[in-house]
Amino acid sequence: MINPSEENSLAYRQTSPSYELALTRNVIDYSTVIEQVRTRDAGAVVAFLGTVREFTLEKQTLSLEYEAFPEMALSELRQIVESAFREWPLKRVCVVHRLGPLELGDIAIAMAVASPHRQAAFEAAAEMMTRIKQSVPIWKKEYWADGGSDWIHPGAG
Amino acid sequence: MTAPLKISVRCFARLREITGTDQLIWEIPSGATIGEFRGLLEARFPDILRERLPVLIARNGQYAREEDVIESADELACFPPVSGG
Repeated sequence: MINPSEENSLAYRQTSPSYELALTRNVIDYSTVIEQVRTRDAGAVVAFLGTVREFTLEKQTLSLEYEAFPEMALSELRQIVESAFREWPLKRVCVVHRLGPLELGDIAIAMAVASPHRQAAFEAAAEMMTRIKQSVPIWKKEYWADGGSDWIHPGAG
Repeated sequence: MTAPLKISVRCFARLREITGTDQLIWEIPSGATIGEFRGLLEARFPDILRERLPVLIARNGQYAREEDVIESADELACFPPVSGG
């Protein structure tokens, strides 16, 4: 359980004995995400936090908002994580993605990966983040300091 | 040609703004493929082409192929390239 107090407000969550995945509109408690994967048979835990950056080139961000197709996002996340378990000797994985409005510095995504040795955890965390950015149906809308706003569509146009 | 299919189409992000709704109920020709549906969507909402917005289409919660034939109980979803993480 990532955060028991959210039990009713957090509708999108998937758990198995080896992973826990969730979408939340609440602030992500990253220490709980990390504790979620710590186990005696894993000698390595790699954690990644994706946070809201103030400047993209010279454009200044005021805030941003994430929207998801939540059922499909959870299903794509599950496929990415299950595939990683087949490719690397992992022990546990936890991924939580934030939705709704976020402020500068907020955590948009937290991932923790546990494996017996560090190389697998480093590689799997990096590769899962790449795949999440390619296929999980979540979209970011940036609100700029100049008053404008844009949906971010990497690779488009 | 049999009766048209009534399908539900969920719309997200910029596609939700262009269509003005998060869910369209739409009658399409029986036997239509995902590719043909894409053409109908672009014809009905010209802003998609005007903005050169790439549209991804999912069928029952999975990315669809252009040649997939749409069936009566299918739930489609259309959305732009993803930008989470």
